[in-house]
Amino acid sequence: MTAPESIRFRQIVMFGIRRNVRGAAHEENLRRTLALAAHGGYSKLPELTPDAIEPFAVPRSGEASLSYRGLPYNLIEDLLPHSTAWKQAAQVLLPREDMAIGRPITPLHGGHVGLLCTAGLLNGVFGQGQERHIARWRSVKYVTEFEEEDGDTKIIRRREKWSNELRLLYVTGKVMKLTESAPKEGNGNGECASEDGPA
Amino acid sequence: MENAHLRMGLLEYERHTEKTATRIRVRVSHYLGEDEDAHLLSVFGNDSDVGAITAAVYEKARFGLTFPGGETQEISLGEGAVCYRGGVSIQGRKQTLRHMIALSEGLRGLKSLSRTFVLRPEPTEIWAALVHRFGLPGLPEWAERMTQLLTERGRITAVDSIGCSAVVISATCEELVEWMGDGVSEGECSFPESNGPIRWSNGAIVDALRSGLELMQRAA
Repeated sequence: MTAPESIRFRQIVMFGIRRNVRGAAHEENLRRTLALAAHGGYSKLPELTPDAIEPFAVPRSGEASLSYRGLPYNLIEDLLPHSTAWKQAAQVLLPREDMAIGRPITPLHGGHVGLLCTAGLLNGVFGQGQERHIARWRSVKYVTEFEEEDGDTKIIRRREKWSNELRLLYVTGKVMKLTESAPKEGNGNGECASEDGPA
Repeated sequence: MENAHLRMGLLEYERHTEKTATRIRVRVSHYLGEDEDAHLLSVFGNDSDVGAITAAVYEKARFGLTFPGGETQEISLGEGAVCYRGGVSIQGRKQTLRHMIALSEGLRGLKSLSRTFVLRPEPTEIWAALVHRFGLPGLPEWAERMTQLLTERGRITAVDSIGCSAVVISATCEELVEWMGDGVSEGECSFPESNGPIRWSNGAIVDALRSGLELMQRAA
């Protein structure tokens, strides 16, 4: 029981002659086994030396047929990646990116382009010269927390809203983040106004 | 592949009530975690065993995990874990084998924005995970350079895993954007010749898991 494989797999093999033990003899057997197991009794057992007992010659048996009734692990290992559970988890582990490729039937209006942009379907490389850039849209969740006082009770409310932000990386190495809020001082990021008017 | 049992772990769950004591043992095909914090747990077994483990995950229970090498570790998926359940039909068996994958809040990116877990340390997979998670204006061609940068700065760390060679990447969105900007201005990350959409190859989970197993078998 101290062999490394026995400790690892928590298994031992015992050989013996099977006998029917019933009634009081069975109870006595159980009592002795429990008494032996208590207080680390197994570890105190002396090691069995070859001359301790007359060797028992195991009688020759017929052809043994071994059959495994447990789970077929090799097959399961191959099948598991195709399970629906992995398909659901893949959305978190390997996020995919949808892309709209093709020519629209009619030219896109500003509204169409806006919808496609905010949906992240028009991410890509745009512009020319120094203004050439990579544009990447994404949706961001904002949580606003505010407190209300109702007598002695303080109520904490959380308001969640979704907004879109655009990150731009220019060919010069300049990086910008455009959001719905106004830019902070000294920061190139923030609200972007188009040529026609405010965004 | 042969000898799958040598690559699998064992999960034990014990629950003691006033009158009953329950002990459930299921096999672990994939695991990803850091010490006591489990982030991904993929187990399979019969309907009742997998059902009990699913309930225990939602109850934030602690489990005993035995790694293929024999080391043991007490683990928990913590608060906010989600479970995905599925089944696998095996020829010659009446009942479908139940499969469950539990993902922690940390792995789903709801706890910390600076830590990203990846199933294997492949540059394309690491870079795609970061770009999609943070919404970075990056190109797939920059995968090698950015992964090299992350490795040089010690931002890629291996985590405890079964059935994969998982790593955690510790980098914030702002840091990555800054490194990309530097890379572009220094000419290490170049723009494509023509304008247009960026095409990312959408890798399949089956390939990611299979290659992980092949790597493990080769290492063994």
